[in-house]
Amino acid sequence: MFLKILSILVLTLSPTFAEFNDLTFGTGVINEHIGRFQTNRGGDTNDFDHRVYFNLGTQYQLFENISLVPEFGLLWPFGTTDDENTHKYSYFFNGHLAYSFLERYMISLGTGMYLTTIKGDGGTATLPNGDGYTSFPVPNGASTTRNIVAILGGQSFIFKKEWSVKAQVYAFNVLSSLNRSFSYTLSVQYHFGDSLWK
Amino acid sequence: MEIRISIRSFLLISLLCSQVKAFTLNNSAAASFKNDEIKINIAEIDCPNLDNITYTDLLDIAQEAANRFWNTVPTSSLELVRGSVQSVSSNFYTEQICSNSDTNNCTPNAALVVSSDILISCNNNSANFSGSSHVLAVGAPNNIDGENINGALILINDSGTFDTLSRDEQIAVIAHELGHAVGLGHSQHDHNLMYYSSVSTRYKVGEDDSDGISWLYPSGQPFSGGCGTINLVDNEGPKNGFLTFLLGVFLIIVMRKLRNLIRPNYRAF
Repeated sequence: MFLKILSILVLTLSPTFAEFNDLTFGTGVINEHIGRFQTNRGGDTNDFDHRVYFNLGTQYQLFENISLVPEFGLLWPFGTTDDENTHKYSYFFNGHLAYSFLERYMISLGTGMYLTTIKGDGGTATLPNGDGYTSFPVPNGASTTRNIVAILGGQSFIFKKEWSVKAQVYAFNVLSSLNRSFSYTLSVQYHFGDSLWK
Repeated sequence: MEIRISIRSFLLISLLCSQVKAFTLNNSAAASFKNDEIKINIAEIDCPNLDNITYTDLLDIAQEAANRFWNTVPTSSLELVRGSVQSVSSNFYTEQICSNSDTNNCTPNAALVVSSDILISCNNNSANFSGSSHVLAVGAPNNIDGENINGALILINDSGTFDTLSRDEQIAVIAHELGHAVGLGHSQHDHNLMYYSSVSTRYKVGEDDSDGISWLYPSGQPFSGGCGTINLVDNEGPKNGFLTFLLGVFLIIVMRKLRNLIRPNYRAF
């Protein structure tokens, strides 16, 4: 409720020149939960385990150098996990407050909802268990995790103002010392409209 | 040295399907604890062959197992916390965890039912461990009500080699059994904690482990807390306030854009 009231106040009280003036499409790589998971028997972790992601965003100018940047993104390939028979879909909705400066740079601070849907096909799997084998039930159905994330980003256009590169760091569970984790993205963005490089 | 870990849990077998999957469960009801915070308690039982491991040591190992593995999963709401030493019947040392011998369909022994949370005890009944000293421990939820786990039991093989393992391996073994206690089955990939075999270089959960525990105990921010229920269907619902917030923002933007569209000097993208 607080966020809703705050957003309504910001958007309705913003200056009259505030407008919706860019649409961006981007693609890049994301490394989820850096170093959180063991990736082989030897004990290595997912320090450089990248997946491709796509994002769609826009910019809503609030003040001369400050804009609101909503963003939607999804990870690709959609529905893959460590095992082909379990499906995982990760996607996010972000909202940033961005400050542009020196005609080519932008920094942003925001929050978002990072969702992961994990889905199993049901049935059973026969796996080793002690000295023999046992049939274990495979999950049947989907479950979606929701994480509020804090996001710090930086962006700079390259060559022309239609293109920019963007880097973001996502922080999960910021207040928890045990399951706090970080993800980062590196991407290229194409701007269809007037951007806010001022 | 490769050491095998076994479980006996509540399994319903389907012999028609043998396709290997990713993370699995250990009960067909996909049961999970109702609360996100679960205590790990230690049974006050004399363990002649584990005499160099005190109750406090075992509590420390269990707490470290929780904090090094399950409590670190960013997308799960599960939190395993240190409990206490509890007085229990000597049956926990001598009895079988299942009253039958079918590992695919365990009927819990009523004498060992744990009323709440997770209890770790030592045990010398060889039937629990396939008669092998290489089977270090067993773990299973043994008090299930529908889709809710009320209590779970972990038994350490008092005739096994648990006390000869390195501390890291002891932590990993207990963490593996904690995975069974909260409802998970085995994984086919050896870099996951829920792989059937102990690995000396086991430091973190694998992706299967994370997916499994997140499936059973999904984080539900910003409204999580209190309910660690499983979801057999997508759990999007009216509680997702942040999505409502974003929808509100977009609605306002669209309204302002519509308003501006009727102005001749509007500069649209």
